[in-house]
Amino acid sequence: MTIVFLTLSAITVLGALLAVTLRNLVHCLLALVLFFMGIAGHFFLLKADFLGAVQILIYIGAVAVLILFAIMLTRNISGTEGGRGSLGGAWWLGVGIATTLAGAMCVFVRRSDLVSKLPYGATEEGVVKEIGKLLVTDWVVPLEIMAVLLTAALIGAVVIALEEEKKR
Amino acid sequence: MDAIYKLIQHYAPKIPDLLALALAVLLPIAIVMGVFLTVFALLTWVERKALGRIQNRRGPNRVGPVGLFQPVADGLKLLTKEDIVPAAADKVVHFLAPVLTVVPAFMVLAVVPVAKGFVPVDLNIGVLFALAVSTGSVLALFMAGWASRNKFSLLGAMRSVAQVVSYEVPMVMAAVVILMAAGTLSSVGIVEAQRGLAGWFVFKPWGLVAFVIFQLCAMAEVARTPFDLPEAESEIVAGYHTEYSGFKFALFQMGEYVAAITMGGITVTMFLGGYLGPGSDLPKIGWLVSAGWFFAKLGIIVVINIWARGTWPRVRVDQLLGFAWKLLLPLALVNIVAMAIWHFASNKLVGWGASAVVLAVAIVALVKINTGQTFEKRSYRFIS
Amino acid sequence: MSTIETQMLEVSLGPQHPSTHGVFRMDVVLDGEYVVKLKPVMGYLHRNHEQIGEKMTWLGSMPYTDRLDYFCSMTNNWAYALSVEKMAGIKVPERAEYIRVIMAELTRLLNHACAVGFLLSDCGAWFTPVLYALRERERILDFFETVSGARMMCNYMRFGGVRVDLDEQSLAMARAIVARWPAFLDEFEKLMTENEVLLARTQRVGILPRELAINASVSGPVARASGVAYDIRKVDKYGVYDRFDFRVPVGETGDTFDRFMIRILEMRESVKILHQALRDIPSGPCIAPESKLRGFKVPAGDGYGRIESPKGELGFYLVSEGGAKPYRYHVRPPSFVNLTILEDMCLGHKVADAIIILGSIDIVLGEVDR
Repeated sequence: MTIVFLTLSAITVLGALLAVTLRNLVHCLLALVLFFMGIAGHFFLLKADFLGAVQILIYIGAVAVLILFAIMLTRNISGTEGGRGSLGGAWWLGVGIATTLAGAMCVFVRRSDLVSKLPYGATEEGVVKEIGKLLVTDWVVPLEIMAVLLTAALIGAVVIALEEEKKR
Repeated sequence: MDAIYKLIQHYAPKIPDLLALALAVLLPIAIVMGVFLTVFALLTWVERKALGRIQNRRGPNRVGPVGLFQPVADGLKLLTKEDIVPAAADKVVHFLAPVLTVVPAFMVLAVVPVAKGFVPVDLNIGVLFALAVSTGSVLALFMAGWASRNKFSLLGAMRSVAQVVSYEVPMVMAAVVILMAAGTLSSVGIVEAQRGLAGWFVFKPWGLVAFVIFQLCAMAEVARTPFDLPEAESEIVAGYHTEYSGFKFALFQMGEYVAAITMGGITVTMFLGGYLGPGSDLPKIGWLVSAGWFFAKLGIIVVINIWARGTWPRVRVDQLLGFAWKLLLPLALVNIVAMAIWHFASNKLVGWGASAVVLAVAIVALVKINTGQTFEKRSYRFIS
Repeated sequence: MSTIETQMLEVSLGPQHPSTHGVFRMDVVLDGEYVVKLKPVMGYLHRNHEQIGEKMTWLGSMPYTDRLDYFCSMTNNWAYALSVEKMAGIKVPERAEYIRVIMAELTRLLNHACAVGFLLSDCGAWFTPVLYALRERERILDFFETVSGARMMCNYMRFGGVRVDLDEQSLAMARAIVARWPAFLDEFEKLMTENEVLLARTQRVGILPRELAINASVSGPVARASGVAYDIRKVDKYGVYDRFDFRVPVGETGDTFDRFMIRILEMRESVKILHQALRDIPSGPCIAPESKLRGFKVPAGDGYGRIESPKGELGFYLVSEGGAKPYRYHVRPPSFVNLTILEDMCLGHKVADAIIILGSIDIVLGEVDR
């Protein structure tokens, strides 16, 4: 298990590093996908199959494709122009923010009692059921707010597309 | 997997533990890969023969009896062909793309229950896994189109991304109904939920609608005619794999065909009762009979695909996307409501009637809205 | 609100492309999938046809006309023969006129069947319709072969008649072909009018307005689909076309669908003509006795002979100085003239539409480039 964990971690870190250092936009995106895959692998390794599948479905199936569309919509469709590299002069600022965030998260996760509340020993089936139930009971308001937000975004996209259509 | 591990330990206790574990992991993979690669090779032959039959010609009939060894000949030919990489291409991505096309196609196989008690990995979230992994293929197609630095390839890549993303949505929505009915995400669980006389989900009104939606989306997802726009040969030559030759091209073909088979497998599992059928529960030979049922049903789906390919023209890109967003997606949403009606109906007959009526109204209304102005009856003057 | 700036994509469709119907190139500028500019580039198949015609004897050019529109060598022969006969004042015997009508209408059948088949193939129907059309075309080609000795490059007509007479056996063969054609047409028309995908692809796509069709001197089925009631068989009544009872179908909208429906309807009329011609064919010589093969000379002057070829008005403008060769030899090919309005029809449509619009014009590159 350790070997698998280390390999996966190496892949994940490599993907993350490549995503911020490569010059070509599309290459960066592919490295990001590699990183997402690594994270999904970690979930599977931790026997969190559901989270792993969701990670693939949402991050690779949706987020990566979204970025892809963003790249395709720009003039720079081949991704080769303006290759200054994503590591600009203010890289130390990014490292600082990342370290602070990670540290804060570690501290809060350790302090909170969330971990002890997790339904240990529940089967994966049970977890999926539990998540589903929670989403439509305790967390129904945030869920609905998200739904409204997404609908608004969708309508906004349609409006922009209609403007384009009218010009034609 | 565990069963094989136990068998090995039982019959050959001297084998070291690690080796037994490796065997237990690798053996099912080898069996599945072997079986489905054979099916893939056979499918190319069947497809060419069937297309030949549709088109008044014989199809392959030179290599081996009735051309049966044609796939072997094709494979050898493609293996020995020169592998051409365009000078301007992005070499690494160009190389990775065909490999990555094949991977998701085979990964989905892991959760398809081929016979009673034989599923490579019985994941609790089987269907979700299959749907998630199959989205991965879109990236490979984009990589191929983008890395080739060819405008036809790029157009094909753009089309395939738009297409797969659009059809993913109604596909998942159609699958939701089945998950609601079965109450589980496990592929084996879904099959077992379809026991009983006319228990297959396709025999329910919502199941039938979901089956049609799912089948159409599956055809779009693996870019089969009439949704083969990413590789529309009359428009953009060969789409994303225009710049591929030799074995890389073969890999694309393999990825596409295996994806078609696995999608068919998922469809069979979800709607046609998977491996269930008369005799699938027999004590000794049950696994063989059930495998027979599974592959027979898979064959029907495959033949439908070939039939569509031989007879239908291709739709245009805006019609393709409009079809997904304006017809399939609303219908899938209504279908979920119909399923809820079925679920909460006081008795089965009421549920049948109510959900059927809701769906019929929805279908008629949606078709009316969508095709209102398109088709005209034309009249022609004659001068003499 | 600022709009998103997108990149225009310049794509060169052809000269090596699966569906440009030969070595033809369309330089297309695409905004996403929309065609914003389209430039037809011709000349890849230029063979100096007209210059060769001026270096050849009058009869020597006859086999070269086969190569113009290589689908319809019979009508090409006829158009050339007609112009020369006009200048030389040769009277064609009645039987030869009937044979010419039979050959021309059979050519129309095979051309239109293949044009419709290739349209469906351009739509992505994986060759099934084409192969159905080719199966029927094969019978006609077999007939041409038994009569003239060649399947496509027939070189069949001579000044003042035709090269070989039709015997009873080949007439029976032609009758058999014509007899089974309506059944094939019914099947084919069903494919056209009952396939929703095809309707959605062709209706309201690539509309050619009537005025533009007239101004660009478009002819043939393309013009008639746009509502221009113009058929040279009716206007000139060349040959013996005034003796047959047939109608000319005319469309209204002028879109891709109309262009193909017109072809289907025209095939039905051709079958009618063929029935009558095969029934009424008189006996007699098949070539005018005064026409001679060697030492043939045409009196000085010029002449223009035209016929309704399957693709439109096919004309030959010839100038003679009274010698054994034409002084000027000019072809008015319908494919070339019909192709000039391609951009007007394609603008604002998708690439996929541009392909089927090109297919609906029905060009043969041998004729476009000459």
